[in-house]
Amino acid sequence: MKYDAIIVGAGHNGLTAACFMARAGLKTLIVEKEDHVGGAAVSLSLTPGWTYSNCSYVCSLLRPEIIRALELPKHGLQVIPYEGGAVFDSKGGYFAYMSDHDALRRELIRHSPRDADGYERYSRAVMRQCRFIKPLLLRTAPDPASLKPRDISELLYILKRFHNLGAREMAETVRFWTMSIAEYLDQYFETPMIKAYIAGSGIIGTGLGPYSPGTAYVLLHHYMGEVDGAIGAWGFARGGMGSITQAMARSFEASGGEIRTGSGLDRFIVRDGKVRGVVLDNGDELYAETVVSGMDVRRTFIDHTDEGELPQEFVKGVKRYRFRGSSGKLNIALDGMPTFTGAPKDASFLRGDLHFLDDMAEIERAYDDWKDGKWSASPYVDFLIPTQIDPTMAPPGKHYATIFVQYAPYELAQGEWDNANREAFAETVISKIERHSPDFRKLIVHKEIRTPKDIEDQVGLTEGNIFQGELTFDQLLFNRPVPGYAQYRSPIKGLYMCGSSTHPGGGVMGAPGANAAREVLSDLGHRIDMGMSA
Amino acid sequence: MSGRYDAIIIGAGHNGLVGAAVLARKGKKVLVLEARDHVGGMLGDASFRVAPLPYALRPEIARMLQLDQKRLHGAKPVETLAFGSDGPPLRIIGGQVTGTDAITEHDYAILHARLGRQARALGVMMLQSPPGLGKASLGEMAGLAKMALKMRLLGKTEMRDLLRIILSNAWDLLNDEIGDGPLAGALAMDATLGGAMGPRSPGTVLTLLYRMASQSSHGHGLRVMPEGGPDALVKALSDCVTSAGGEIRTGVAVEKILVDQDRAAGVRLQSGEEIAAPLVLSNASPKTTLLTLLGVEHLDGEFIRRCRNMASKGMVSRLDFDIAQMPSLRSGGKIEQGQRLVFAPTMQAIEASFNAAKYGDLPERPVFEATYDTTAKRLCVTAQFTPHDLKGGWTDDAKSALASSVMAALEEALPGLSSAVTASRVMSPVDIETGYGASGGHWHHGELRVDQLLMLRPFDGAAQYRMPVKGLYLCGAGAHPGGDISGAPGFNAARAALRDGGH
Repeated sequence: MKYDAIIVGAGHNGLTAACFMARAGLKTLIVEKEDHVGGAAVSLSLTPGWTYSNCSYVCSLLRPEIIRALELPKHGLQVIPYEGGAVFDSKGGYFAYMSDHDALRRELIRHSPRDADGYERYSRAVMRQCRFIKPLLLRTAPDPASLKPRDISELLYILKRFHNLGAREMAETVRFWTMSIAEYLDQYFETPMIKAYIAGSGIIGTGLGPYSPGTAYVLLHHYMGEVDGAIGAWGFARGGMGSITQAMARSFEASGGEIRTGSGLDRFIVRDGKVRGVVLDNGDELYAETVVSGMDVRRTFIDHTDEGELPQEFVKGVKRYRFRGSSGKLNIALDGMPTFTGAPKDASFLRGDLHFLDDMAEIERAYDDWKDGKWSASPYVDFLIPTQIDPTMAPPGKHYATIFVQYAPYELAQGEWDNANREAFAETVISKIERHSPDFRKLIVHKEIRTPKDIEDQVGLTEGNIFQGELTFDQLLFNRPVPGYAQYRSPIKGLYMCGSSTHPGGGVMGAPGANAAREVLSDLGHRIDMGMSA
Repeated sequence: MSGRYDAIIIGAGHNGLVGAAVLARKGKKVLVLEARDHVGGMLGDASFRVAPLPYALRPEIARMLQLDQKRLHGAKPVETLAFGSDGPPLRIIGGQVTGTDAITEHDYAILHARLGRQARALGVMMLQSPPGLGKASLGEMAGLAKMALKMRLLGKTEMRDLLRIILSNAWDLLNDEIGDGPLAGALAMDATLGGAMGPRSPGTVLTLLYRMASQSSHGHGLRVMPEGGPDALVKALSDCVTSAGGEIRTGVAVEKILVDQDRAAGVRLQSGEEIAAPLVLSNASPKTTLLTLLGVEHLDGEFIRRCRNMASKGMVSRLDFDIAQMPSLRSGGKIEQGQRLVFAPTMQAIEASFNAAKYGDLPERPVFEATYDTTAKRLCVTAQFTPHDLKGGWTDDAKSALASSVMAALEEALPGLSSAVTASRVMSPVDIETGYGASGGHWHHGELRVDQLLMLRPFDGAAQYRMPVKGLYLCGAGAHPGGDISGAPGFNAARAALRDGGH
């Protein structure tokens, strides 16, 4: 079979790239090793009667430009914003975050009037950073070592935007991009619980602690999303995260695209430095002059490409690329809604993200454990019961909890991720939750434990890193994934990358896929109009 | 008011002396005021030195002050002995290491050369005023352009490599290139000593490059020891001031910077004496200068907030051990004058010692560097990470606990050392703070981090040496380009003051 383009991997980025290419009139095929599309954004059955978001679990970062251009609402996507969240401390107190500004202000004042004012300054500062970075998400990062007109003009575009911020904001931007989340928040807040609540967004998915420089930027990575035009808002996709990729698949098929699930890639066919197609693990050979890989950079080039086809320097860069998964997950089917001793009955914030923390130092200590190759003795958890908002995902009256756990190492210093250790890991998390929700344990109907190793094995995220590679500066912008190859092209002509290991990185954002499609189409001489604002 | 001066320099640290010398040589009548009874600040005197290894004085400054660089840099560079957990120490001079395997020797030589080239490209900015954000002058832009050009001249591969690692951590870089061990430990000590970052903290490649940017007649990134020790450097610098007609007074503490109609007008001493001068350069740390000596009444709220937020948490203690008879190394041989001993067997060990300090505790096993002064028979130890805000405070018990953990590690390499100790002293970050006007007891008067470098040093709105009160300049390590014994902040501040003229 001969196609114009083949996309390897039906994750949200592969699907996004495929949609744009099919819309441009290319005869496009997606190949996927699993029996279903979606990658890390899928809804599966947790146990009979329960549907759950199997890996990624909240929606916010998906670019509105992509939602519009691919007509995802028409294809069934519905995002429900969530209203808040809370952190409970060990002394029985709580701080609730609410998306309603007045309610939030009252809650902040309850803890500290100074923090209420600090929050105003803080949210303005972060919003300015979001506005600065947003247009960069859907642009290809310039290569600063290149003298090509396009790279120079792109570099000048960024410098000009930077300069237009004005002296004060320029300084703030440099600080924001390089500071630790702890120090950043210390500038605005005094209440440990409030800082701890916000700091979580600076470390989720990373191999850094809140005291590490560079984590303030990661905060941005979780904040630059929007739901219905509300910047920084989070939401649930009705029916779970799979409904995003299902909508993408329908949009793709509506544009004439073809999807083959059930067999993965064996290898790329490369001749004379050019890609000619792919061989699947079932032996099928499929041909195309353009192949786009949604897999991470290590899988694409180390596992599925003959090293002899690649320059040494590139191979070295790929091998050096860091994943270092740091997150685990528990998915739990519940017989009913658990109660929380620290919260007023039926508090609305229970529908949001819940955390059990005293201060940022507790998160930092959790990180220290991970550095030593242990799961955190007192982990940071991001706990959600999405069935309160979308009851369709569980039998009537029943619920499910998604518990994201930071930190868990990919490899344990002592022993393996065998069943005993996996159970011990889950027990650490459950007993921490139980201290705040005494009936939680007895409501458990079924639990799924996922260590970084499981995330790698089951979802295909190398070393269990949810971003397809760390979000540190040496792996951002023009450095992602490898300096000199940050523009979605690879050393092999016709072979492109579109996964989260390319700029701007992970999260269910779709930007890497859209950017890769733009580069592919531009190389093929197509007009580049994807309905996106600059 | 007593006699008239053109300029007063608060603090006779090396930066204050360099600044004073630059002004005096331009015909300004300068007065240097030093609270301690000796000049040299942290370089100290025979009784105590915070910085026993002065190695980074910029050659350009030495040339301009007509100092004898051959003497300043000594006959040969300082050799580093990097102790592992057992066996003889590695011996490191610049890009050469002995005592390890041939592959590591080779990889290290390549890495050292590469980092040296990259450090020198960045080092262009050392003797430049940092460009003003959004309002850079032509000269400042030229400085930036020169740095960009230097980076390009590294070639595509090395430039890309620099842009990749520049905000990264020493841990990853050194694990990639040479693997963990005493060699990586010694380099990671360079990257972390004096600051509040462990080798895994992003930003520690930059501090490593910062140290690699030092230059001497023996090459770049080397430790050197002046002939005659730190005292010789102090004397050379103070001679520069006095021979150009400058005056230095020791034992006089400044209490307040005087302001008249939003202009610096002089200083008031603790004795009550007031000395007038239209130009005041402060070698004290930014927080001390602005919040204590100047006073918040002359500053706006936002400026004060940024000043208070400046990261300057000191993590280094200095310990002196007087030794009756220095024992031999367990692995054989003696410690010699002009050697630097590094006790950081792995990067992992450094990170572990940083872990405790993050929460205000003392590490079980501190990591440290040491030099032995054979004439004074004194072992000078610089240990980290020992937090300024130690839980329970820096009591005598805390100090002796630190001294014994350091001694325990020394004893392993130098059996019999602890019984040869005749006296010891511990200088905590709090002691350094009170003794040297360095808030937080921070060596560099403020963390060397991207958010506190160049146009953001010491903080946004206070960069470029000029303080909000006209005629007041910051000339210490808190100003660009920062700490170590480079003399560059003093030199740059004096030149900024001269450029502003009119005083």
